[in-house]
Amino acid sequence: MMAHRCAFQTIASPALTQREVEFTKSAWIAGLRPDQRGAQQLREVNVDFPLLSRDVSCVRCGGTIVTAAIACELVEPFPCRPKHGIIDFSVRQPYTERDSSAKTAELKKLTAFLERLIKGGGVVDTEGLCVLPGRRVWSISVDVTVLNDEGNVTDVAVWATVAVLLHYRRPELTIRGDSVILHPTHERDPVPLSIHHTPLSFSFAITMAPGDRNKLARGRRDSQEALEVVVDPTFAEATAASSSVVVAVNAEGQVCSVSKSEGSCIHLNEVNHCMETASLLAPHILSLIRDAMAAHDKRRQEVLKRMFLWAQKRSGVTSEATEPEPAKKLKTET
Amino acid sequence: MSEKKEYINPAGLRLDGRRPQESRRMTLEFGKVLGCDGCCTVMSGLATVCASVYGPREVTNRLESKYNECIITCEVAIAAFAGEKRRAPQRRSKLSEEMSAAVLEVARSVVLLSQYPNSQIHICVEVLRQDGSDKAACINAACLALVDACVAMRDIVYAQTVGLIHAVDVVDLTTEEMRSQCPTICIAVKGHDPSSIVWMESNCRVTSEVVSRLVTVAQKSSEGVFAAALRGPLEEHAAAILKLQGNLGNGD
Repeated sequence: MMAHRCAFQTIASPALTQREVEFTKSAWIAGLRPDQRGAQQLREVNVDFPLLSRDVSCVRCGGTIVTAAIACELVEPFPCRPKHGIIDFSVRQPYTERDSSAKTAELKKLTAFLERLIKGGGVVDTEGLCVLPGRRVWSISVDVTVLNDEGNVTDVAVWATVAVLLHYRRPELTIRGDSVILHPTHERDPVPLSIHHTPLSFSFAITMAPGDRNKLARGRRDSQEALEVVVDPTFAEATAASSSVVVAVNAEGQVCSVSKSEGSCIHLNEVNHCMETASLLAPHILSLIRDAMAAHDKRRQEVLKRMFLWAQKRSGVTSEATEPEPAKKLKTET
Repeated sequence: MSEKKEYINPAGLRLDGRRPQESRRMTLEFGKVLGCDGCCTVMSGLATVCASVYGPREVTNRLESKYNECIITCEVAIAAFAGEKRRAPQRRSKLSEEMSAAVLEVARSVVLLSQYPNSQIHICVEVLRQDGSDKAACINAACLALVDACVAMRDIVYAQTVGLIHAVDVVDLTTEEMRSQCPTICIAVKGHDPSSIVWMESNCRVTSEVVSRLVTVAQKSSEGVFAAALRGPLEEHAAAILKLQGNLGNGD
């Protein structure tokens, strides 16, 4: 695991930041990145579900760590939309002494981006969350916590949110007339949410403005080409970049969101390059999420099996019979 | 998308009689608000947005000032009578905060921040009437108000919304067209160089070829609108300012 650079961040000053920016820019001109990654290479991504329950996910991308927790309850719907469920997002980050007041604005912007991408993009079928129209609907709240920030928090937050939405199971319901029966997990198996598509976002840093690039190309005759667009920028690279683009794509290759925020101007070929790179990287992240879900399911099964064996031993079942009956075992395991 | 409604009739005209690539008529008014450094009222079709700029001035909150560049703050208010239904008169809502963030990003991109260290520029945008493409109208009004305030800027910015209705590229959407839930892209480009994208936002699920085509259509339309509707009033306004300065010079 990468060591956190708390000491450096604490004593950061404008002069040190300027030196870091200059170093990053000279590395880009030489065709390299400060941490020796390729232009279209992500940092080491690790998706994990730390608890045995299915409602917490943790995603690491290099030194950036984001967790997403999900909860749902039955509430009364909004009067203007009586047949649609409710999805809420909140983003939090523990404050340190180096954070400025702009951090609150960044978290608000990240919350708005998550709402636009997942709620506005129709990822979760909100009509499927309706139980009794006008009286009872499911309300889903996703709580994203940024544990460590070394750049590119937007992408990691989206990946964590998508992972927890895919993996979560809500309780089963039985509706008879106007009465709703909520079954615990030991009575009936919980059911997954209805997910239409899985958008995954990727941030890109545009290294320099087009005018500066043209001047540089005229000045230098080296065969080495400077980097133009880099994916997954770190904190230093985000500071040194002239502008940034966030592209969200889903598994089918469709573009769900394109956002170009402040900074210098960009051209259409750079946007196309970002969309192509995001389409190449999205299946990799999605396979990581699917593998983490399968590994978590396997771990849950093993833990349940060990609990069952321990209960057998505690109640003295093994002393009565040498081997349990296969029918009982099959029935219990299903 | 609603299949029953006919947004483009067989003759190729939209609901309000425009061609798909035709923008609404846009008029500008400068200097209608007193007591501010720059103001502009933009009327694009039925949409009316009034923006005023205060500054560059001293920073009100000293903790937020920066020693090497100017800070920009933005406040967007939507009038209670702006839409079809009367809305609650609260100043802050999710929609106005989103518009404020968009205007702030465009202003920070286009203003030369290093020219005004330890200063603050405050932008107030009031949406008087909504008719679709509200975010683009706010961006246009704010940037033109900055021009009226004589803030150092890289270029004029023109923002508009493009959409895809029944496989036809449509420019400058109205409220009815926005309500159809068609794929839309809101994009701001430089006035003199439409190929430079200042700000861009899309929240729809389309292929990348559609995104490229919509961006290209927006850039072409921006070139036409800038030449037809923006260049003339800006030049007249600049000539009036120069004439006023000449009169003051003669007085000295």
